[in-house]
Order: sequence, then structure tokens, then C-alpha cells
Amino acid sequence: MNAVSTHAVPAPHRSGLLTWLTTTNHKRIGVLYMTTTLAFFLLSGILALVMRSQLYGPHLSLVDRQTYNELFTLHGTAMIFLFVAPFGLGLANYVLPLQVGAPDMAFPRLNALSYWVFLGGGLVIFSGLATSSGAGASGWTAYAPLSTTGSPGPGMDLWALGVLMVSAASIMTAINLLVTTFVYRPPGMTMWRLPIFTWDMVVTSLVILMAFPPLGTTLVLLLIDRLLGGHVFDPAHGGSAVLYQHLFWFFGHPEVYVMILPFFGVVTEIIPVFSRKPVFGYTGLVLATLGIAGLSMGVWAHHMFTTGAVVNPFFSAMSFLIAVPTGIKFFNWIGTMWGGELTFPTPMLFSIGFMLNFLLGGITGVMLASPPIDYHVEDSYFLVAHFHYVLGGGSLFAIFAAIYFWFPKITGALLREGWGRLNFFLMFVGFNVTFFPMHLLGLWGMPRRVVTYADLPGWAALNRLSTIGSWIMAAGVLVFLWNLWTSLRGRIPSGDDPWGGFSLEWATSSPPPEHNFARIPPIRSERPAFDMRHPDLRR
Amino acid sequence: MITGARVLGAAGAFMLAVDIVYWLVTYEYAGTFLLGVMAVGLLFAAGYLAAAYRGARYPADQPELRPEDGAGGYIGAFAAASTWPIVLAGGVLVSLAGLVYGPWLFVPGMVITVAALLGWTRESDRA
Repeated sequence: MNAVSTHAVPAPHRSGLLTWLTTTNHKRIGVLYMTTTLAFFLLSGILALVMRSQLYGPHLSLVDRQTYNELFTLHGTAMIFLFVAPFGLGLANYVLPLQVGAPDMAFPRLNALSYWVFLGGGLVIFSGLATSSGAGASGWTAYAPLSTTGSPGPGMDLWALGVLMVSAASIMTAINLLVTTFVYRPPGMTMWRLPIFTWDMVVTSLVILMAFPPLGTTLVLLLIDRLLGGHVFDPAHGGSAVLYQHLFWFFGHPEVYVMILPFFGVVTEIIPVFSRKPVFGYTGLVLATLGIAGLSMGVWAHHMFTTGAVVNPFFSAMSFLIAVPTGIKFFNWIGTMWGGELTFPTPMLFSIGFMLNFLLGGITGVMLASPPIDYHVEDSYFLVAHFHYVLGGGSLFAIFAAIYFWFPKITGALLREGWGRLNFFLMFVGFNVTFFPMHLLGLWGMPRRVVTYADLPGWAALNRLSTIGSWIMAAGVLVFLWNLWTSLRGRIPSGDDPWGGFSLEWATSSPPPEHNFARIPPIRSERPAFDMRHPDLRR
Repeated sequence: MITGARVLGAAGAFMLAVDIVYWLVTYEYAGTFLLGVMAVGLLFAAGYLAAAYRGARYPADQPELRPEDGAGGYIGAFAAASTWPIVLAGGVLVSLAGLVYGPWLFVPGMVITVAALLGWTRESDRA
């Protein structure tokens, strides 16, 4: 980097595994984060397949009730705390310093600590499986008293400690991302020239800093109840179980946006590139992100409508309002594609899949914001369908879009396009076959988190369809793994910028050098790499 | 930097407004307190940034500058490698497991944690 001098501390001579264990470079930590989260995704996916196989027909007994409870607890916990949210942080670890023109993250050692604490937290959560009482089995929400008197044994303790570690790691990463963005931008990279993904990570980091401390507090209070004989959440001794729900959802709903905002950013990076147009409504997109984040902090108790302990109209109105900035984003994505020279490589296919699936998840979200509907479908499979359309059909598809889009930047090689398309179609079909029937099951009254079900009209057929869909989706994931394997073994060099990318990471080599840039081009818009290649078209 | 202060300030003001409306609508303590703490935290961060950079022309905020205009400036030290983060994470993990399984894990965990913190600090002093 010749624009500004950096003080790179000389590395001790290390090689092989030790290099990875002691790295403080943001790109390596980003790769560690993403591969680890993908490993947790595979593990969690296997748990889901076991659950779906159990539900293939009524009255099956592939697993017992306790095991099933552990399965859905670990599946939800891993997908939320160990895959979707940290994948966004891992991706930001790799991409954000490149996009803002920084040589590394602001605090490289803290960055490494974040990753190792995250990994440790994940292992602690899963280590519950090795205990005599089994893993935590009270659902990923760990409501009291299910998580206090209802879950004796160390498995639940380990769950709480593991989530506490993951939460601390997220806070450390959020601080790092914010300081990197605020302080380490080169001259000319104003905040209003930041790529949308970076903006979305700034806002996500703010949400983490506001929402995760209450989670940490809640978990410490839970551990006091469990390990030290406290009664914070025990109504029989003057405590309050509803307080647990308040504290948990004060974190829990913003966490949904921690899991979706980064991926709004991902598709906003991808759609303009494959539409060959600047993003439509840059300022509107940034303000919409801020609006979503702000509103997300005031809707926590829509998860508590049926407790009767909250003022439903307030939370219902706030929840409806979130649809407005989210709708603005859809308007901007469609506006970007409108009249563009559209092409449909795999990242674009996954981005469009994201839009279609997330739209359905958003619509059912608006339905659930209405208390009369929520009362009807609370704790039913309708809810399972809703949040899987948001986080599976939404975030998961955007994660695959991100992998296909930035894989050449990270490795200097392309993923195979044919396998990528097959990966997309299997996952898109499999996802919708799995989760769409759950809307109907929920409306017909099937409760979630049940190990088996009665042979009521329609239930068995829809559950069977759903299970078949999960197998199709799993086949899609296997195709993805095969694509990774073949693309890394028989590398097709991508060049530095295979897509004609817009933001600064595409102005350096693939993979980038140690401190990212040999030279940073002038930054005159939110598309510095495009401006560099097309000085005649600079706005 | 001033944009960062404005973003944080606007978010803080918004949360303060939500907090007031929430209290007036619900008279509920837990949510009011949580929203209030969040608003104060955001406004504090905005105020800090605004005060720290008052009157300063931060190069990144000047749209007419080019990256080479900052040539020669010192922007920071970036450790290329460090053993202490993974050791510290291991110490924290063992200590926390000790809360469940007893002092035979907690004590060595704390020893590792303190040693890692000391090592980290010494390494930071050198760079």
C-alpha cells in the first residue's frame, strides 16, 4: 500500500498449521470464520435431516422425545448462533477492510480472539451431547422454566456458556468492524461512498452492540439461577419468567436483523454488477437499513403477544412499520435490475432466489405482526415456515450467492458454473418443497417442536412432502461441496476481477496481497473499481 | 467521522423517542429501561465522536482528496501474527467449563487466562 504507511509488525517464522493458529490477518480470519460456520451448517443440517426423517410419517420412532428436543435445540442454536450470523461477520472480516481501502482490521489480535472464542463457544455448545444428561433441550430460546428447573444436568449449562462465548465474540467483531470503517478509510472514501455491504455491516455492528449485551446479561442471570441457586426467573420465589422473555427477545428480534442485514448488503452488491447498472437509490438503501435497524429494536414483544403481559397494539404497529423500509429495499433491487443488461450467473440466481423466498417470509411476517393471526398460529408450523423463509430462503440463499461471488477474490479460482446452477435449482426446489407445506400444516393446527403427530387429514402427506424436499435440498448442498472440491483441485484461474465488480476489493489482485493494496485508485463514487476501469464513464 | 456521529446521534434520538412513546403507552419498566439505556449509549457515542473530531477535517471525509494525499501518514500497527489470542480463548473456555465441572478446571483455566493477558500486553507494548 503506497498511499499511507502502515507499521506491519514482523511475523515470527511460522509455517503450515501454526500460521493459521496464530494468524491475525483479516483475510485468513475471514476464511477461518466462513469455513467454520459452514462446518456448523453441515452439522446442523444433518440434525435437521434426522428430524425430518422422524416426521416422515405419523407415530414413527426413529428418535425418542428427549433426543428430538436436543436435536431441535442444537439445530436452531447452531443455525442462528454458529452459522447465519457469524457467516456475515466472517464475510465482513474478509471483505469489509478491502471495500473501505484499509490494510487490515483495526484490532488484528482482538479479531483473532473473536474467532477463537467463537469456535470455543460452538464446541462448548455441542459438547453437551457428550454429557450424561445430553445437550440442552429447551429450544434455542431457552425459555425459563424449561431452561432452569426443566433442564437439570450440565448440558444446559454448557449451552448457556457456549452462547455467552459466541455473544462475546460477536461484540468484539462488531467493535472491530465499526472502528475499521470509521477510522481506516483512505482519503476520499467518504461514508456516502461506502459500498452498501459495508454500510449494512456498520448498521449490523451497531445492532450487535445494542442487542447482545442484554443477551449476555440474560445468560449470566440464567446461570445464576442454575448454578448458584438464584431465583431471578422463578415466580415461586418472587422472580419472573416473563422477564426472561423480555430480556431474551430484546436481543432475539434484533438478532433476526443481525442475520439478514448483512445479506441485504450481499445481494445489493451482486444485483448491480450483473445488471451492469449503478445501484438504484443508494441513499434510500442506506436510510432504509438504518430504519430497519432502529425499528427492529422496538418490536421485541411481538414474540410475546400470547403471554397477555405486553401491550400488543404498540408492538403490532412497530412491526408493521418495518415492512416499509424493507419494501424500499425490494423497490431498489427491482429498480436496479429494471432496464439493466441482465446476466444470470450463479451469484445472481441465488440473489433472485433470495428475493423470491424472502418476499414470502416477509409477507407472512406482516401476517404474524397482527395479534389475531398470531394468536391463531402461535407455536405452530406456520411459524416454522415463516422464519425458515426469512433465514433459510433469505439469508442462506444470500450466503451461497456471496460464496459464488467472492470465491474468486478469495482463491483466485472460479467455481464451476454448471455445478453452481444445479446447486441453485436443487436448493430452490428443495427449499420450497420442504417449507411451503408447513404453512398449511400450521394453519391446520400442527404444533411445532413435537416428536410425532396424530394421523389427522392431510398431515401425513404434507409432512412426507416436506421430508422429501429436505432430501432434495441436502442433494443441493452435496453438489455445492462437490463444486468446491472440484474447483479447488482443478483450478480455473479467475483473474483479478471476473465479474467486472464495482467496489474497491475488485481493484486489487485475487487473492489480495498481505496488506490488501499495492495502490488504491482514486475514489470518486461508490464504484471506484468501475471508475478505474472506465474513466470515460465516471459520473 | 462527522457522518458517523450523525448516524449514531439520529439513532439515539430515534430510540429516545421510541422509549418515551413506549413508556406512555405501556408503563412497563423492563422495556423502558432497556430502550433508555440503548438511547443513552448511542447518544454518548455520538457526542464523543462529535467532540473528539470537532473542527477537524478528517481526510476520509473530504471527497476531493485522493488516497495518495495521505502518503507518508502513519495509520497504525498491524500485528502479523500472535500466539496470545488462541491461548486466551483457550483459557476462557477452560475457565467457563470450570464453572460447570469444578475448581480442578476453573483454576488452571484462570492461570492460562491471566498468563495470556500478560503475554498479550507485553507483546502489544513491543508493537
